[in-house]
Amino acid sequence: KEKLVVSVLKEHFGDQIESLGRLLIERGPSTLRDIITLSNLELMDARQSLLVLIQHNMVRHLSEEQLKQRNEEQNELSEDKKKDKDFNDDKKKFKTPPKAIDKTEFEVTDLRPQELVDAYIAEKAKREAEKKPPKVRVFYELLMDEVLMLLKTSKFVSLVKTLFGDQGELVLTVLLTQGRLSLHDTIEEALVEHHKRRQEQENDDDDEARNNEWRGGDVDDRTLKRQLREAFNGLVQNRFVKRVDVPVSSQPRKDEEKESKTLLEEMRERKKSKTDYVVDLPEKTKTKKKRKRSVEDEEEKPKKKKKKLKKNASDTEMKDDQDDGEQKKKKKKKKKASDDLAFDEESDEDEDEDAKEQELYKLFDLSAAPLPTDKSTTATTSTEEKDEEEKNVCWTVNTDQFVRYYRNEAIVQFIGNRINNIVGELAKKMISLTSPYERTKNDYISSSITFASIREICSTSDMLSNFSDNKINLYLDMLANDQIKIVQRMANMHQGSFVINLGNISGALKKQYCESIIEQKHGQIGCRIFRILLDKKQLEVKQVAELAMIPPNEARTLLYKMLQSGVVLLQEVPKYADHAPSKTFYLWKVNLTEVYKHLIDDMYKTVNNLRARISKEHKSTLQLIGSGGQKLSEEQTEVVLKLEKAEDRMEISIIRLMELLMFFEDF
Amino acid sequence: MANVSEQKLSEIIKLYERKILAVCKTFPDGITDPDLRQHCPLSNARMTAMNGLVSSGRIRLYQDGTTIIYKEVSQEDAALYHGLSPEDITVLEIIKNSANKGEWQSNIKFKSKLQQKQVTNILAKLKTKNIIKSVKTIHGKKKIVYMLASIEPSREITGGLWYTGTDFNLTLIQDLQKKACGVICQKKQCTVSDVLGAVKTMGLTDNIELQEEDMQTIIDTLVYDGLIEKSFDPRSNLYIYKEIKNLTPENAFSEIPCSTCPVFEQCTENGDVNPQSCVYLKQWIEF
Repeated sequence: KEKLVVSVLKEHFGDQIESLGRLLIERGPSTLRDIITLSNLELMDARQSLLVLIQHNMVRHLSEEQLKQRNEEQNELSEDKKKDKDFNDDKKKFKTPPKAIDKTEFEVTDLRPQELVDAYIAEKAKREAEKKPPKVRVFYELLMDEVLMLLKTSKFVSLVKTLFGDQGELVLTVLLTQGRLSLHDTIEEALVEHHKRRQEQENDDDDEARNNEWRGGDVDDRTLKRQLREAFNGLVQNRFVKRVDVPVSSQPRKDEEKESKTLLEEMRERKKSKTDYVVDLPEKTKTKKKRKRSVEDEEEKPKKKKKKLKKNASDTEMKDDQDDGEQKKKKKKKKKASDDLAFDEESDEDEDEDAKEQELYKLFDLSAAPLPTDKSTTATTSTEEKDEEEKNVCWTVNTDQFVRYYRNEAIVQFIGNRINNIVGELAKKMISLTSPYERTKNDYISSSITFASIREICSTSDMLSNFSDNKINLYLDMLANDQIKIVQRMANMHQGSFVINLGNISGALKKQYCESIIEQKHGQIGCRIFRILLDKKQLEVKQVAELAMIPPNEARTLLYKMLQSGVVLLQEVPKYADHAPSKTFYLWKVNLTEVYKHLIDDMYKTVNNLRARISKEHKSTLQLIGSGGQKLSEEQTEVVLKLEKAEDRMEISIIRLMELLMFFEDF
Repeated sequence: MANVSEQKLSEIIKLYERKILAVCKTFPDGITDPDLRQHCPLSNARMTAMNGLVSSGRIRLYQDGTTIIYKEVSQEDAALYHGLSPEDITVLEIIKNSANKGEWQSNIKFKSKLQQKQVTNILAKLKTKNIIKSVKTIHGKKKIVYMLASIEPSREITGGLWYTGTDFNLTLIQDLQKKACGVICQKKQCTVSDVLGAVKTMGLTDNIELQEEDMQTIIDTLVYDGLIEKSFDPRSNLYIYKEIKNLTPENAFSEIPCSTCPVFEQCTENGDVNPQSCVYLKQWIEF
């Protein structure tokens, strides 16, 4: 898995970030100082790389206390897990422990103030200074799962395309490539992307592969912007895109929180308030409640400007930090400022948007200057100030929601296959009721659904509309009495409330896939033995052979083969103290979690292999094209086409493998 | 006078013989000498009686450590042991104790503490007299066990229905599996006895005595193959079997040759076996 992470980092970000990633994987959470000394990167390079990774949500920072807390918790859980963590030692490049770690405080003075990290550290130092002498050590940790999400992006994009159309696809692509963006920037980038694609389509006029959707008339930028905004709105409402909160000092934020909470509660039309937001924050600030904002809400904010004005002072710091992040991005996008200006179109419909754009230009001006500390200089009207705040809010892709979506889909399909289509439809409706309430990416049980709501929901579906209460009860009973216990009844017997056992179903799904992989590898009889051992827990060879109806020799060879590939385990039970082999019992058993771990490892290795092969094929394609000059002979074109086909095939396999890995790891 | 004492002696001997036999009957596990002395105090007469009984084969001597035990020999055994030497009888006893599992020749030799040649001769002798028989086992092609001729060998050594001779009868098992599966799929849900009845009516198994236990094992293998499902019906207190509709899904990992590659463990990027020059991958790509 680590190899894959490193290779993905290299492919997407380059050598510097790859070396940083490798270091973080080997050492675990490290301070910036450690990183600099151990990776031979210069200070600026290291910080730059870290920032890029933070931008993409792949690195997060922890304070020393949090790290300690986490380590303690893990120590409590089990000592075996500690042994697993020693993989760091095996893969360490540095044989001697790094001597550079000294426990002096991390010096803040020689860093530039605009940096996001610095601002945070400064804030923290300030806070700490009140209580005790400041000793701030910030640890950076690489989130491997986030890095691997890069491989699954194509799936996400295609899903969003089906749900939200082309505009949604644009928005998501932009967010994925940039990591985090504010609303305005996302839309701007999406527009740019749209125009780019249009151009490419026009250039490829002669090509057979033509996307006709794009050619359907010249959609003007105004409507496109609106459509993009709507798509963005949709993504946020369905939790595919989430807000990123930049770390700030907790106190002012809390004040602002209280006020804004009431604000939002008034404004909010939706009752679903349990949706969670990212918290890319250290734990101290996690006391903040999570809230949801949509573009609609933002547009309604101007009405509540008076309340917002009260928060001027407290907003300063928040704005500072957000601005830091913003300015970093804006420096990169200064070239596009001129483009932005070009989009400034006057129209009745777009007055609001224009106002917002105006504010953005003001911010651009500010970006050249040092930190805007005084809010009064920046905001002339309260609308602007609110819009600025909105502009400073960063959004990013919520990968958990995608996982949830796929999981629910898989569950519904499983139920449909297992029983029948009607029950599948019912399950689909029930899940659509509960999915907005799901908190983590793999909840064990869904939230409860009352019978009344089920009845309601049935009336909305074609298949289930004519169902009487009895019939619904019948189907629910069928689900409850199934071996896997798909649904559980709570409260009263009839007309009670129900809970879907998502965990049970995903467990059954995993088992199914696992068994099919084992069947492929060890044959039908191997799979039979696997199931026997799962059922009976521990058996001797003779017993296994009897139950499986195969000769004992065959059973023995299969069991040893499966032992080699990590599917089964062997337990010795000696009869006498001298452990004589003829006088000990040898019991075979299966540990499902271990099997899954092995399978996941194998799959990651396979992904690595495929990527290696793809790069090799790619090189040979380039060589062929390079050597032939512009015009290639027929033979060469054939070969090139073949190679391209091969590459496509392998890439598709990688995508499918990553999907399967999601099943095993995340579900 | 001498005649009278002789007569009395012979009477006493006969009496003692009867007594000894009666006492031995009450002690089926055997009686030791000191215990016997209590019942038959006259040592001379007792000794003669004992000798007489032993020679006629009504009583046998066993050695339990250092003590000697006397056990009654049943009439059947007496008939069996008629004309056999003590060594023969030792071997026969060993074989008898193994009941329906039989005894290997090497074990017999070990237990009887006799020479190899002697044991072989005795076994041949007993075989010709049809007292014992040899049975081939499934545990090895040359493994033979000896048991009493009248006993049926157990399933453990013959393999029961599933072995013809010493060979595993895979075709029979597969046949039965298919039929059972067909019956269960047709009937939607049924018990073991239903399946047994249905299969029997199909014929083709007339030359084999199919029992419910055998059917149970076949059905269990189908459950373990993931073709049918087992559930408990509380009303009839039996297990019922249903067909599973959802087949195991196609999965991405199995499509890739790496999943079934025999040298997967040795495959590394810079090794002899590497993905860049993998033959299996090449074949798969070009397919």
